[in-house]
Amino acid sequence: MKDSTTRDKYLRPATLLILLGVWHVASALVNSEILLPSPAATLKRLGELVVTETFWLAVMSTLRRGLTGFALSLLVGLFCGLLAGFNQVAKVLMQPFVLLSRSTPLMSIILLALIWFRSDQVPVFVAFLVCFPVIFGNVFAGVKNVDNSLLEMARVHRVGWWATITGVYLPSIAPYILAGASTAMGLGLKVVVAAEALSQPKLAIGTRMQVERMYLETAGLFAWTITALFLSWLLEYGIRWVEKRVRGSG
Amino acid sequence: MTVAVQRLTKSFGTLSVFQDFNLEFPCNQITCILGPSGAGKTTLLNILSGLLVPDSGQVLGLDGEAVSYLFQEPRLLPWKSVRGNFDFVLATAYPDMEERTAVVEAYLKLVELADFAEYYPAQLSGGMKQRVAIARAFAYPSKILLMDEPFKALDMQLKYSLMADFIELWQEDKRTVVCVTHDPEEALYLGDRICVFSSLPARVHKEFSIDLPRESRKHHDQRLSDIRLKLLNLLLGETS
Repeated sequence: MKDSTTRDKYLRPATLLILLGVWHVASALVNSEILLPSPAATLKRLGELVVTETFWLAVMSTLRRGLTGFALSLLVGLFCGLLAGFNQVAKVLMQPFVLLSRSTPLMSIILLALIWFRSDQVPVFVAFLVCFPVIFGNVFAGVKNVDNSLLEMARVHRVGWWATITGVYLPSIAPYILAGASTAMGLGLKVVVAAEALSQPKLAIGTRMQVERMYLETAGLFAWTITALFLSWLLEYGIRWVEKRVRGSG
Repeated sequence: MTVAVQRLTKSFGTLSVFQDFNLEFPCNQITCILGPSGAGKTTLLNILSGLLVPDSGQVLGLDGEAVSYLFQEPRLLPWKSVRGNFDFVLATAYPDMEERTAVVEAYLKLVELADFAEYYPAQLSGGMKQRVAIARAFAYPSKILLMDEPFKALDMQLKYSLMADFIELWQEDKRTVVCVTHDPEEALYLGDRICVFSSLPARVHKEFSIDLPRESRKHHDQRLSDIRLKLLNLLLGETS
Protein backbone atom coordinates (compact mmCIF):
# COMPACT_ATOMS: atom_id res chain seq x y z
CA MET A 1 0.00 0.00 0.00
CA LYS A 2 2.56 2.51 1.19
CA ASP A 3 4.89 1.69 -1.67
CA SER A 4 2.28 2.39 -4.29
CA THR A 5 1.26 5.73 -2.76
CA THR A 6 4.83 6.98 -2.61
CA ARG A 7 5.32 5.77 -6.15
CA ASP A 8 2.20 7.67 -7.20
CA LYS A 9 3.59 10.80 -5.61
CA TYR A 10 6.56 10.70 -7.97
CA LEU A 11 4.63 9.36 -10.90
CA ARG A 12 2.10 12.14 -11.13
CA PRO A 13 4.55 15.03 -11.68
CA ALA A 14 6.45 12.73 -14.02
CA THR A 15 3.41 12.21 -16.27
CA LEU A 16 2.87 15.96 -16.34
CA LEU A 17 6.47 16.46 -17.45
CA ILE A 18 6.11 13.80 -20.15
CA LEU A 19 2.94 15.52 -21.39
CA LEU A 20 4.70 18.88 -21.55
CA GLY A 21 7.66 17.27 -23.31
CA VAL A 22 5.48 15.66 -25.99
CA TRP A 23 3.62 18.93 -26.46
CA HIS A 24 6.89 20.88 -26.78
CA VAL A 25 8.41 18.47 -29.30
CA ALA A 26 5.19 18.35 -31.33
CA SER A 27 4.92 22.11 -31.53
CA ALA A 28 8.60 22.37 -32.51
CA LEU A 29 7.98 19.87 -35.32
CA VAL A 30 4.82 21.64 -36.53
CA ASN A 31 6.67 24.92 -36.21
CA SER A 32 3.62 27.13 -36.41
CA GLU A 33 2.30 29.06 -33.42
CA ILE A 34 -1.12 29.23 -35.06
CA LEU A 35 -1.54 25.48 -35.54
CA LEU A 36 0.08 24.30 -32.35
CA PRO A 37 1.54 26.89 -29.95
CA SER A 38 4.41 25.82 -27.72
CA PRO A 39 3.95 25.32 -23.98
CA ALA A 40 6.14 28.35 -23.38
CA ALA A 41 3.97 30.60 -25.55
CA THR A 42 0.81 29.27 -23.90
CA LEU A 43 2.20 29.84 -20.43
CA LYS A 44 3.29 33.34 -21.38
CA ARG A 45 -0.20 34.13 -22.65
CA LEU A 46 -1.72 32.64 -19.51
CA GLY A 47 0.55 34.85 -17.43
CA GLU A 48 -0.65 37.91 -19.35
CA LEU A 49 -4.29 36.92 -18.84
CA VAL A 50 -4.11 36.11 -15.14
CA VAL A 51 -3.16 39.68 -14.19
CA THR A 52 -6.18 41.23 -15.92
CA GLU A 53 -9.45 41.86 -14.14
CA THR A 54 -11.52 40.49 -17.05
CA PHE A 55 -9.85 37.10 -16.65
CA TRP A 56 -11.07 36.68 -13.10
CA LEU A 57 -14.51 38.09 -13.88
CA ALA A 58 -14.85 35.63 -16.76
CA VAL A 59 -13.69 32.70 -14.63
CA MET A 60 -16.06 33.61 -11.80
CA SER A 61 -18.99 34.04 -14.19
CA THR A 62 -18.39 30.67 -15.82
CA LEU A 63 -17.98 29.03 -12.44
CA ARG A 64 -21.20 30.63 -11.24
CA ARG A 65 -23.11 29.39 -14.29
CA GLY A 66 -21.71 25.90 -13.92
CA LEU A 67 -22.55 25.72 -10.23
CA THR A 68 -26.05 27.13 -10.76
CA GLY A 69 -26.82 24.59 -13.48
CA PHE A 70 -25.34 21.84 -11.36
CA ALA A 71 -27.27 22.85 -8.23
CA LEU A 72 -30.52 23.00 -10.20
CA SER A 73 -29.97 19.56 -11.70
CA LEU A 74 -29.01 18.17 -8.29
CA LEU A 75 -32.19 19.51 -6.73
CA VAL A 76 -34.55 18.46 -9.50
CA GLY A 77 -32.71 15.21 -10.16
CA LEU A 78 -32.80 14.25 -6.49
CA PHE A 79 -36.49 15.02 -6.19
CA CYS A 80 -37.49 13.26 -9.41
CA GLY A 81 -35.15 10.31 -8.78
CA LEU A 82 -36.60 9.67 -5.33
CA LEU A 83 -40.15 10.05 -6.63
CA ALA A 84 -39.55 7.66 -9.53
CA GLY A 85 -37.76 5.21 -7.26
CA PHE A 86 -40.69 4.95 -4.89
CA ASN A 87 -43.56 5.35 -7.30
CA GLN A 88 -44.08 3.28 -10.44
CA VAL A 89 -46.51 5.77 -11.99
CA ALA A 90 -44.08 8.66 -11.49
CA LYS A 91 -41.32 6.54 -13.04
CA VAL A 92 -43.35 5.82 -16.18
CA LEU A 93 -44.42 9.47 -16.46
CA MET A 94 -40.85 10.76 -16.16
CA GLN A 95 -39.24 8.28 -18.52
CA PRO A 96 -39.83 10.24 -21.77
CA PHE A 97 -38.43 13.45 -20.24
CA VAL A 98 -35.32 11.72 -18.97
CA LEU A 99 -34.85 9.92 -22.28
CA LEU A 100 -35.23 13.19 -24.19
CA SER A 101 -32.75 15.09 -22.03
CA ARG A 102 -30.32 12.19 -22.29
CA SER A 103 -30.42 11.59 -26.05
CA THR A 104 -31.05 15.03 -27.59
CA PRO A 105 -27.86 16.19 -29.33
CA LEU A 106 -26.04 18.78 -27.25
CA MET A 107 -26.05 21.21 -30.20
CA SER A 108 -29.86 21.07 -30.47
CA ILE A 109 -30.15 21.94 -26.81
CA ILE A 110 -27.73 24.85 -27.12
CA LEU A 111 -29.32 26.22 -30.29
CA LEU A 112 -32.82 25.97 -28.85
CA ALA A 113 -31.67 27.60 -25.63
CA LEU A 114 -30.25 30.45 -27.72
CA ILE A 115 -33.76 31.06 -29.04
CA TRP A 116 -35.46 30.76 -25.66
CA PHE A 117 -33.10 32.44 -23.17
CA ARG A 118 -30.86 35.44 -22.54
CA SER A 119 -27.24 34.86 -23.50
CA ASP A 120 -25.99 34.47 -19.91
CA GLN A 121 -28.83 32.06 -19.04
CA VAL A 122 -28.20 29.72 -21.96
CA PRO A 123 -25.19 27.92 -20.40
CA VAL A 124 -27.07 27.43 -17.10
CA PHE A 125 -30.01 25.86 -18.87
CA VAL A 126 -27.81 23.62 -20.99
CA ALA A 127 -25.80 22.47 -17.97
CA PHE A 128 -28.99 21.71 -16.11
CA LEU A 129 -30.42 19.67 -18.96
CA VAL A 130 -27.21 17.68 -19.45
CA CYS A 131 -26.61 17.00 -15.74
CA PHE A 132 -30.19 16.18 -14.82
CA PRO A 133 -30.41 12.66 -16.34
CA VAL A 134 -27.09 11.70 -14.73
CA ILE A 135 -28.24 12.68 -11.24
CA PHE A 136 -31.69 11.26 -11.82
CA GLY A 137 -30.34 7.91 -13.02
CA ASN A 138 -28.01 7.55 -10.06
CA VAL A 139 -30.60 8.47 -7.44
CA PHE A 140 -33.07 6.08 -9.04
CA ALA A 141 -30.52 3.25 -9.03
CA GLY A 142 -29.73 4.09 -5.40
CA VAL A 143 -33.36 3.73 -4.34
CA LYS A 144 -33.67 0.46 -6.23
CA ASN A 145 -30.55 -0.94 -4.60
CA VAL A 146 -31.56 -0.38 -0.99
CA ASP A 147 -31.08 -3.67 0.84
CA ASN A 148 -34.50 -5.24 1.13
CA SER A 149 -33.49 -7.41 4.09
CA LEU A 150 -32.71 -4.28 6.13
CA LEU A 151 -36.07 -2.77 5.19
CA GLU A 152 -37.74 -6.00 6.31
CA MET A 153 -35.85 -5.85 9.61
CA ALA A 154 -37.07 -2.28 10.12
CA ARG A 155 -40.63 -3.16 9.23
CA VAL A 156 -40.83 -6.17 11.55
CA HIS A 157 -39.63 -4.04 14.44
CA ARG A 158 -42.11 -1.27 13.63
CA VAL A 159 -39.49 1.39 12.99
CA GLY A 160 -41.23 4.63 11.94
CA TRP A 161 -41.12 5.91 8.35
CA TRP A 162 -38.93 8.90 9.13
CA ALA A 163 -36.39 6.78 10.99
CA THR A 164 -36.46 4.28 8.10
CA ILE A 165 -35.73 7.03 5.58
CA THR A 166 -32.90 8.58 7.56
CA GLY A 167 -31.59 5.27 8.91
CA VAL A 168 -31.84 2.97 5.89
CA TYR A 169 -32.69 4.82 2.67
CA LEU A 170 -30.49 7.92 2.83
CA PRO A 171 -27.27 6.20 3.93
CA SER A 172 -27.62 3.60 1.18
CA ILE A 173 -28.45 6.17 -1.51
CA ALA A 174 -25.76 8.68 -0.48
CA PRO A 175 -22.87 6.99 -2.38
CA TYR A 176 -25.00 6.94 -5.54
CA ILE A 177 -25.84 10.63 -5.19
CA LEU A 178 -22.17 11.49 -4.72
CA ALA A 179 -21.07 9.42 -7.71
CA GLY A 180 -23.76 11.12 -9.82
CA ALA A 181 -22.75 14.55 -8.56
CA SER A 182 -19.12 13.91 -9.43
CA THR A 183 -19.92 12.86 -13.01
CA ALA A 184 -22.44 15.68 -13.47
CA MET A 185 -20.01 18.31 -12.19
CA GLY A 186 -17.33 17.42 -14.72
CA LEU A 187 -19.86 17.19 -17.53
CA GLY A 188 -21.55 20.44 -16.45
CA LEU A 189 -18.47 22.60 -16.74
CA LYS A 190 -17.65 21.26 -20.21
CA VAL A 191 -21.08 22.03 -21.63
CA VAL A 192 -21.21 25.44 -19.93
CA VAL A 193 -18.05 26.45 -21.79
CA ALA A 194 -19.46 25.03 -25.03
CA ALA A 195 -22.72 26.92 -24.61
CA GLU A 196 -20.87 30.13 -23.74
CA ALA A 197 -18.81 29.90 -26.92
CA LEU A 198 -22.06 30.05 -28.88
CA SER A 199 -24.25 32.31 -26.73
CA GLN A 200 -21.45 34.83 -26.12
CA PRO A 201 -22.28 36.30 -22.73
CA LYS A 202 -20.14 39.31 -21.91
CA LEU A 203 -18.01 37.64 -19.25
CA ALA A 204 -17.29 33.97 -19.89
CA ILE A 205 -14.48 31.52 -20.57
CA GLY A 206 -16.31 30.27 -23.66
CA THR A 207 -16.69 33.78 -25.05
CA ARG A 208 -12.99 34.51 -24.51
CA MET A 209 -12.08 31.26 -26.30
CA GLN A 210 -14.22 32.27 -29.28
CA VAL A 211 -12.55 35.70 -29.40
CA GLU A 212 -9.06 34.17 -29.30
CA ARG A 213 -10.03 31.85 -32.13
CA MET A 214 -11.31 34.74 -34.26
CA TYR A 215 -7.95 36.48 -33.95
CA LEU A 216 -6.15 33.14 -34.53
CA GLU A 217 -4.56 33.56 -31.11
CA THR A 218 -4.20 29.82 -30.62
CA ALA A 219 -1.93 30.29 -27.60
CA GLY A 220 -4.75 32.23 -25.95
CA LEU A 221 -7.22 29.46 -26.76
CA PHE A 222 -4.85 27.00 -25.10
CA ALA A 223 -4.45 29.28 -22.08
CA TRP A 224 -8.21 29.46 -21.56
CA THR A 225 -8.46 25.70 -22.01
CA ILE A 226 -5.91 25.19 -19.26
CA THR A 227 -7.96 27.53 -17.08
CA ALA A 228 -11.09 25.46 -17.70
CA LEU A 229 -9.19 22.26 -16.94
CA PHE A 230 -7.95 23.71 -13.69
CA LEU A 231 -11.46 24.77 -12.75
CA SER A 232 -12.84 21.32 -13.41
CA TRP A 233 -10.04 19.76 -11.33
CA LEU A 234 -10.89 22.15 -8.50
CA LEU A 235 -14.57 21.18 -8.57
CA GLU A 236 -13.74 17.47 -8.67
CA TYR A 237 -11.54 18.02 -5.64
CA GLY A 238 -14.42 19.78 -3.88
CA ILE A 239 -16.72 16.80 -4.47
CA ARG A 240 -14.08 14.40 -3.17
CA TRP A 241 -13.85 16.51 -0.04
CA VAL A 242 -17.61 16.35 0.49
CA GLU A 243 -17.52 12.60 -0.15
CA LYS A 244 -14.89 12.08 2.52
CA ARG A 245 -16.87 14.08 5.05
CA VAL A 246 -20.06 12.13 4.34
CA ARG A 247 -18.20 8.82 4.63
CA GLY A 248 -16.51 9.95 7.82
CA SER A 249 -19.70 10.90 9.58
CA GLY A 250 -21.66 7.94 8.24
CA MET B 1 -52.66 -15.95 26.07
CA THR B 2 -51.27 -18.66 23.83
CA VAL B 3 -50.18 -17.64 20.38
CA ALA B 4 -51.63 -19.79 17.65
CA VAL B 5 -52.45 -19.90 13.96
CA GLN B 6 -55.94 -21.05 13.08
CA ARG B 7 -57.30 -22.39 9.80
CA LEU B 8 -54.40 -20.81 8.00
CA THR B 9 -54.41 -20.89 4.21
CA LYS B 10 -51.72 -19.35 2.05
CA SER B 11 -50.62 -20.00 -1.48
CA PHE B 12 -48.17 -18.38 -3.87
CA GLY B 13 -49.70 -18.63 -7.32
CA THR B 14 -50.56 -22.26 -7.79
CA LEU B 15 -48.28 -23.39 -4.96
CA SER B 16 -50.37 -24.11 -1.88
CA VAL B 17 -48.14 -23.72 1.16
CA PHE B 18 -50.74 -23.89 3.92
CA GLN B 19 -54.16 -25.45 3.65
CA ASP B 20 -56.37 -25.17 6.70
CA PHE B 21 -53.33 -25.29 8.95
CA ASN B 22 -53.51 -25.10 12.77
CA LEU B 23 -50.70 -24.85 15.28
CA GLU B 24 -50.32 -23.58 18.84
CA PHE B 25 -47.21 -22.09 20.37
CA PRO B 26 -47.28 -22.64 24.14
CA CYS B 27 -46.39 -19.62 26.26
CA ASN B 28 -42.82 -19.25 27.48
CA GLN B 29 -41.67 -22.29 25.56
CA ILE B 30 -39.37 -22.79 22.64
CA THR B 31 -41.15 -24.47 19.74
CA CYS B 32 -38.80 -25.71 17.05
CA ILE B 33 -40.13 -26.20 13.55
CA LEU B 34 -38.09 -28.79 11.72
CA GLY B 35 -38.45 -29.70 8.12
CA PRO B 36 -36.89 -29.79 4.68
CA SER B 37 -36.36 -26.52 2.80
CA GLY B 38 -39.43 -25.32 0.98
CA ALA B 39 -41.75 -26.75 3.63
CA GLY B 40 -43.30 -23.39 4.51
CA LYS B 41 -41.24 -22.74 7.63
CA THR B 42 -40.18 -19.20 6.77
CA THR B 43 -43.64 -18.46 5.38
CA LEU B 44 -45.08 -19.32 8.78
CA LEU B 45 -42.69 -16.89 10.50
CA ASN B 46 -43.50 -14.16 8.00
CA ILE B 47 -47.20 -14.61 8.64
CA LEU B 48 -46.66 -14.50 12.42
CA SER B 49 -44.57 -11.33 12.07
CA GLY B 50 -47.08 -9.64 9.78
CA LEU B 51 -44.65 -9.43 6.85
CA LEU B 52 -47.03 -11.68 4.92
CA VAL B 53 -50.82 -11.62 4.98
CA PRO B 54 -52.51 -15.05 4.87
CA ASP B 55 -55.16 -15.75 2.23
CA SER B 56 -57.48 -16.79 5.02
CA GLY B 57 -57.32 -17.86 8.64
CA GLN B 58 -55.84 -15.90 11.50
CA VAL B 59 -53.07 -15.44 14.02
CA LEU B 60 -54.43 -15.59 17.57
CA GLY B 61 -52.96 -14.10 20.73
CA LEU B 62 -50.82 -11.37 19.18
CA ASP B 63 -53.42 -8.65 18.51
CA GLY B 64 -51.14 -7.13 15.90
CA GLU B 65 -48.39 -6.62 18.47
CA ALA B 66 -44.82 -6.27 17.30
CA VAL B 67 -42.56 -9.32 17.36
CA SER B 68 -38.83 -9.83 17.73
CA TYR B 69 -37.29 -11.46 14.70
CA LEU B 70 -33.88 -13.07 14.59
CA PHE B 71 -32.89 -13.64 10.98
CA GLN B 72 -30.41 -16.00 9.43
CA GLU B 73 -28.08 -13.05 8.86
CA PRO B 74 -27.48 -10.43 11.56
CA ARG B 75 -29.13 -7.69 9.45
CA LEU B 76 -27.25 -4.84 11.09
CA LEU B 77 -27.09 -1.41 9.46
CA PRO B 78 -23.49 -1.18 8.21
CA TRP B 79 -23.34 2.60 8.65
CA LYS B 80 -24.39 2.54 12.29
CA SER B 81 -22.39 1.46 15.32
CA VAL B 82 -23.59 -1.42 17.49
CA ARG B 83 -25.26 1.12 19.76
CA GLY B 84 -26.73 2.92 16.77
CA ASN B 85 -28.22 -0.37 15.58
CA PHE B 86 -29.90 -0.89 18.95
CA ASP B 87 -31.15 2.70 18.99
CA PHE B 88 -32.61 2.29 15.51
CA VAL B 89 -34.83 -0.60 16.59
CA LEU B 90 -35.53 0.46 20.19
CA ALA B 91 -36.29 4.17 19.70
CA THR B 92 -40.06 3.72 19.74
CA ALA B 93 -40.16 1.26 22.63
CA TYR B 94 -37.76 3.31 24.78
CA PRO B 95 -38.18 6.96 23.83
CA ASP B 96 -36.23 8.00 26.91
CA MET B 97 -32.54 8.15 26.02
CA GLU B 98 -31.26 7.26 29.48
CA GLU B 99 -33.49 4.26 29.84
CA ARG B 100 -32.62 3.06 26.37
CA THR B 101 -28.91 3.39 27.02
CA ALA B 102 -29.30 1.33 30.19
CA VAL B 103 -31.17 -1.40 28.30
CA VAL B 104 -28.56 -1.51 25.55
CA GLU B 105 -25.71 -1.69 28.06
CA ALA B 106 -27.41 -4.48 29.97
CA TYR B 107 -27.99 -6.66 26.92
CA LEU B 108 -24.55 -6.03 25.45
CA LYS B 109 -23.10 -7.10 28.77
CA LEU B 110 -25.10 -10.32 28.70
CA VAL B 111 -23.55 -11.29 25.36
CA GLU B 112 -20.12 -10.04 26.50
CA LEU B 113 -19.94 -7.25 23.96
CA ALA B 114 -20.12 -4.30 26.36
CA ASP B 115 -16.79 -2.96 25.07
CA PHE B 116 -17.93 -3.00 21.46
CA ALA B 117 -20.87 -0.59 21.62
CA GLU B 118 -19.11 1.99 19.45
CA TYR B 119 -17.80 -0.51 16.90
CA TYR B 120 -19.22 -0.77 13.40
CA PRO B 121 -20.47 -4.13 12.05
CA ALA B 122 -17.58 -4.33 9.56
CA GLN B 123 -15.16 -4.31 12.51
CA LEU B 124 -16.80 -7.35 14.14
CA SER B 125 -16.50 -11.05 13.32
CA GLY B 126 -19.46 -13.01 12.00
CA GLY B 127 -20.13 -14.58 15.40
CA MET B 128 -19.97 -11.22 17.17
CA LYS B 129 -22.42 -9.73 14.70
CA GLN B 130 -24.89 -12.53 15.28
CA ARG B 131 -24.47 -12.08 19.05
CA VAL B 132 -25.36 -8.42 18.61
CA ALA B 133 -28.44 -9.52 16.66
CA ILE B 134 -29.43 -11.97 19.41
CA ALA B 135 -29.05 -9.26 22.06
CA ARG B 136 -31.04 -6.85 19.92
CA ALA B 137 -33.85 -9.40 19.54
CA PHE B 138 -34.09 -9.81 23.31
CA ALA B 139 -33.75 -6.10 24.02
CA TYR B 140 -36.73 -5.45 21.78
CA PRO B 141 -39.83 -5.83 23.96
CA SER B 142 -42.23 -8.37 22.50
CA LYS B 143 -44.36 -11.28 23.49
CA ILE B 144 -42.98 -13.61 20.90
CA LEU B 145 -39.55 -14.14 19.39
CA LEU B 146 -39.26 -15.59 15.89
CA MET B 147 -36.03 -17.18 14.71
CA ASP B 148 -35.26 -18.17 11.13
CA GLU B 149 -32.24 -20.50 11.28
CA PRO B 150 -30.11 -17.93 13.10
CA PHE B 151 -27.29 -20.41 13.70
CA LYS B 152 -27.14 -21.82 10.21
CA ALA B 153 -24.21 -19.98 8.70
CA LEU B 154 -21.82 -20.66 11.58
CA ASP B 155 -19.20 -23.31 12.20
CA MET B 156 -19.93 -26.03 14.74
CA GLN B 157 -18.10 -24.54 17.74
CA LEU B 158 -19.49 -21.07 17.25
CA LYS B 159 -22.94 -22.50 16.73
CA TYR B 160 -22.97 -24.24 20.10
CA SER B 161 -21.44 -21.29 21.93
CA LEU B 162 -24.05 -18.97 20.41
CA MET B 163 -26.87 -21.36 21.22
CA ALA B 164 -25.62 -21.46 24.81
CA ASP B 165 -25.61 -17.64 24.87
CA PHE B 166 -29.10 -17.65 23.49
CA ILE B 167 -30.39 -20.09 26.13
CA GLU B 168 -28.75 -18.03 28.86
CA LEU B 169 -30.59 -14.94 27.70
CA TRP B 170 -33.80 -16.88 27.33
CA GLN B 171 -33.59 -18.30 30.87
CA GLU B 172 -33.62 -14.68 32.11
CA ASP B 173 -36.52 -13.71 29.92
CA LYS B 174 -38.62 -16.70 28.90
CA ARG B 175 -40.41 -15.51 25.84
CA THR B 176 -42.52 -17.62 23.57
CA VAL B 177 -40.09 -18.64 20.86
CA VAL B 178 -40.75 -20.07 17.42
CA CYS B 179 -37.50 -21.35 15.97
CA VAL B 180 -37.30 -22.58 12.41
CA THR B 181 -34.44 -24.92 11.55
CA HIS B 182 -33.46 -27.78 9.30
CA ASP B 183 -30.87 -29.10 11.74
CA PRO B 184 -32.13 -31.80 14.19
CA GLU B 185 -29.23 -31.14 16.61
CA GLU B 186 -30.26 -27.51 16.89
CA ALA B 187 -33.86 -28.48 17.58
CA LEU B 188 -32.79 -31.07 20.16
CA TYR B 189 -30.65 -28.54 21.97
CA LEU B 190 -33.07 -25.62 21.95
CA GLY B 191 -36.60 -26.93 21.83
CA ASP B 192 -39.17 -27.68 24.49
CA ARG B 193 -41.16 -29.04 21.62
CA ILE B 194 -40.23 -30.09 18.11
CA CYS B 195 -42.74 -30.05 15.27
CA VAL B 196 -41.66 -31.84 12.11
CA PHE B 197 -43.27 -30.42 8.98
CA SER B 198 -44.26 -32.55 6.01
CA SER B 199 -43.83 -31.44 2.43
CA LEU B 200 -46.37 -29.02 0.92
CA PRO B 201 -49.06 -28.17 1.74
CA ALA B 202 -47.46 -28.06 5.14
CA ARG B 203 -48.82 -29.94 8.10
CA VAL B 204 -47.28 -31.16 11.34
CA HIS B 205 -46.11 -34.64 10.53
CA LYS B 206 -44.93 -35.51 14.02
CA GLU B 207 -44.44 -33.78 17.33
CA PHE B 208 -41.98 -34.41 20.16
CA SER B 209 -41.72 -32.93 23.62
CA ILE B 210 -38.40 -32.69 25.42
CA ASP B 211 -38.61 -32.04 29.14
CA LEU B 212 -34.93 -32.44 29.84
CA PRO B 213 -33.13 -29.43 31.31
CA ARG B 214 -30.87 -27.95 28.67
CA GLU B 215 -27.73 -28.28 30.78
CA SER B 216 -27.98 -32.04 30.56
CA ARG B 217 -28.69 -32.13 26.83
CA LYS B 218 -25.02 -31.92 25.97
CA HIS B 219 -24.39 -35.27 27.60
CA HIS B 220 -25.52 -38.61 26.38
CA ASP B 221 -29.11 -39.31 27.29
CA GLN B 222 -31.17 -42.26 26.16
CA ARG B 223 -34.41 -40.33 25.67
CA LEU B 224 -32.66 -37.68 23.62
CA SER B 225 -31.01 -40.36 21.50
CA ASP B 226 -34.36 -41.97 20.82
CA ILE B 227 -35.85 -38.71 19.64
CA ARG B 228 -32.75 -37.99 17.55
CA LEU B 229 -33.10 -41.31 15.78
CA LYS B 230 -36.77 -40.74 15.08
CA LEU B 231 -36.11 -37.23 13.79
CA LEU B 232 -33.43 -38.45 11.46
CA ASN B 233 -35.65 -41.19 10.14
CA LEU B 234 -38.45 -38.73 9.54
CA LEU B 235 -36.25 -36.22 7.78
CA LEU B 236 -34.66 -38.89 5.63
CA GLY B 237 -38.11 -39.94 4.53
CA GLU B 238 -38.40 -43.31 6.24
CA THR B 239 -41.62 -44.08 8.05
CA SER B 240 -40.56 -45.96 11.13
